Amino acid sequence: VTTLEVVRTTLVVEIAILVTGVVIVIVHALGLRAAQAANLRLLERGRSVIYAGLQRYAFSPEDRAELIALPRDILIRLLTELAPSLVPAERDWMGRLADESGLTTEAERRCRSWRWARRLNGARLLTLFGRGDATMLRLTRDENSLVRSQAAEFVGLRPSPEGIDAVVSLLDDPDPLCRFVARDTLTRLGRVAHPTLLEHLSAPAPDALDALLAVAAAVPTHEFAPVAMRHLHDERPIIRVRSAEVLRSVGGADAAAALVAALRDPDAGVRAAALDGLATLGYWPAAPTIASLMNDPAWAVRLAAGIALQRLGAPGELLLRHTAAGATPGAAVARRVLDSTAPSRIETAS
Amino acid sequence: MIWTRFAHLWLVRFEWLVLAYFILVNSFYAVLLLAAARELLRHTSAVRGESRSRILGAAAAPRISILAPARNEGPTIEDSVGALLALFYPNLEVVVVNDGSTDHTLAVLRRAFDLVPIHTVFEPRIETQRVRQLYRSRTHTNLVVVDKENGGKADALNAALNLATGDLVCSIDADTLIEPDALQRMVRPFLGRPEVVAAGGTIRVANGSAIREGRIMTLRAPRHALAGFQVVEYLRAFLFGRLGWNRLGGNLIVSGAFGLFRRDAVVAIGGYANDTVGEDMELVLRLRRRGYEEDAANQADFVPDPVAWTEVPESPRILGRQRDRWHRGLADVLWRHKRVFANPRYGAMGLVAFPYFVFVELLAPVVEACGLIAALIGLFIGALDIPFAILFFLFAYGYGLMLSVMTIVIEELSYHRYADLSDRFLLVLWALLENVGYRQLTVVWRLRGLFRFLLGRKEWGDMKRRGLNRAAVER
Repeated sequence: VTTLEVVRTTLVVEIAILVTGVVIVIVHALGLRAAQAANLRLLERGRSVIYAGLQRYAFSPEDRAELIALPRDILIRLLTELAPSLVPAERDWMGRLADESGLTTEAERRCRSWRWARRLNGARLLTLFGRGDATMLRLTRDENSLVRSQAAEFVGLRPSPEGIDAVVSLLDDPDPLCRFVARDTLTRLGRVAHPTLLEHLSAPAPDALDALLAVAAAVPTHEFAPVAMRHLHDERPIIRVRSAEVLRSVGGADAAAALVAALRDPDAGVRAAALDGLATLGYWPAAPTIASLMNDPAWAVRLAAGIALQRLGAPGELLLRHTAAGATPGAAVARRVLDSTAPSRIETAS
Repeated sequence: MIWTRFAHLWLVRFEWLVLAYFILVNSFYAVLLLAAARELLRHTSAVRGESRSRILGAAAAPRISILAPARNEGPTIEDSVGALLALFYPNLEVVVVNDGSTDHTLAVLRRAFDLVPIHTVFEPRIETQRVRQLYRSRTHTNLVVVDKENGGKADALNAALNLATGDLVCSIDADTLIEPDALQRMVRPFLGRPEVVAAGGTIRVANGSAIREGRIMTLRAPRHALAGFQVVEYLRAFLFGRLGWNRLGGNLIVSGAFGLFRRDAVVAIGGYANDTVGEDMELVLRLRRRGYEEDAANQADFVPDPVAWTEVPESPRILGRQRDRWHRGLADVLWRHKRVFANPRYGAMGLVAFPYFVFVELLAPVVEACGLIAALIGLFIGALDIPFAILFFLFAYGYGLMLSVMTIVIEELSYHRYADLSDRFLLVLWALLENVGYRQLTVVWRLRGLFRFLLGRKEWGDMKRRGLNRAAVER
């Protein structure tokens, strides 16, 4: 076989691949257009049945039969576009429709697949229909992180004590996406998650304490205050920062006193978080202590102190002006903070 | 006569060398194509049916600061910034930097967004040219405008970095149009993979499409040949090049037109380098190097579905300058980081990606030009096996074309953005014609860039934009 023959043969193969590529593009484009035209008719019909039913607050057996008769992918598309606009009662109707059409069974079957992509697809369908609580609880322990995240998202829509507990355990998941979704789900659940959160926070050495406290700060209740005060003495600075954030969200005289004490923390981040907390609570009796932190060695603390004084209103502004007039490290920050309070005045002056 | 025989001998050897290079490079392209197809399959499975609005309409979503440098962008700045402010992302800040514009860019911004001067408290962690004034919008409180003295794009980005408060920073060109949900898609790798320090999205060509209020209303393939060739080039670069690199050691380039980075990592390395024209690639390499050296996040991912639209040059002169600058930037960055080359300390980046960029991206125009010159000399002195040369040329042309068409196939089977059948035909047509004339022109431009790099030239050159909206009107 000569080199020329090799090149010639390769050329023929190349041309064949090229022609195949062009044919794929054309056939796919034409097929897509035809499918879109056909689907459009079915989608329009399905939409009109659903909208009429929703307007009447009732679906007749004929409506249901018509929807169930639609191809599965069309029905899934209809339900997917409809789901975000539905209130819980309507979602329940949607779930029943999925049950009757066999979509729920199909989704649960997919959730048992050995392929993660199919399990994920099944989990997403069950989330859409609001069905399959037991299956989704099992999937919070799935080996694939995307599937676990989807199961956590499901709990956000259909909370149960076991589900919330499983989501709290995902706060310590090795995969960051799972941790993110778990945190978001618990934040969305709000007070429904309070008992479980409190139970975990009160444990002697809770897992994922950092994330637990972050969630607690986002969904505050006065019940969190004692545990946050306890964790304010933790040896890890990040835990002390998070505890300060919880106290800021919870509020109250005890929380303010604990935050004032935290102003003497050796870690700059904790001091800054405590300053932010006191400013949020509007705890003006702490203003002189806050002003003393305008000369803190850490720039972030000086800035936080300046902003805190500004947020405290008149007493804070007075102390800011006093600091700005001096020659201390805090003077520059104080001047900048004072400048930033009145952009409209600056504009007029310029 | 002896010289002819000597030249004959060396030409034959050189032609074999070129052939070996050609086979090696194209085999690697095939590997990249397969890796890209596999990666796209995995990505599609992961995002199908995903409820981004539920996950990312979240209080826990990381804050993103968009850094938008603008210099003399008067005709387009209002639409561009308006589109940025309208992005669907829950926790967003937009920092626009007027980098010493000599036109009415700042005046347009002040009028359009009701800007008022402020003296925001910030720590200038990266040194930049003097900031004249900071502004905040009264109508969009998450918009901050920095008016500073001209210092180049990198300096403007650094000024924006000093002010940004996001966990992540997104660098864009002021004339880039980002799709509304692009940030929700782009943030995914940062949520799921702690080793990711940078991520880039797809840049697509908007020339010829209808655009209104900073959004693509009707996507059309460009009717202008030069823009059409670039559509094929961009598709190839992003859909098979960068996507394939996700599986082969990570990307070395995150386009400056649309990239997302961890802010703390960027600030820790001192922001963008001012003294290079390839500041986007330089930043990614430095970030990744630091990651490897300090055992921190070191991956740069490409995410195929977030899309940003850009206007590509339709004039050969301006396109030539752009390609010249890109190649100068590439040469400069690879030279600065030469220690990464084949260095096992940097993992796949040092052993695979970096050598690829040196031998293929940087030196390909040199090899291609030498091959053509040798072929001409061979023809002149009768040392060329003409049937073989013709077949080889056809083979090379066909292979390039095959890769382009396969990219169009991937696009068709995955995103099929072009709705009209005629646009698909047009894309195939541009792919067929790209290798005749245009490709050779890019070789000349890149060689010029390499030559100017050796001369130490670092200027940017002007990029005169018509403005994307005007482009649509004129179509």
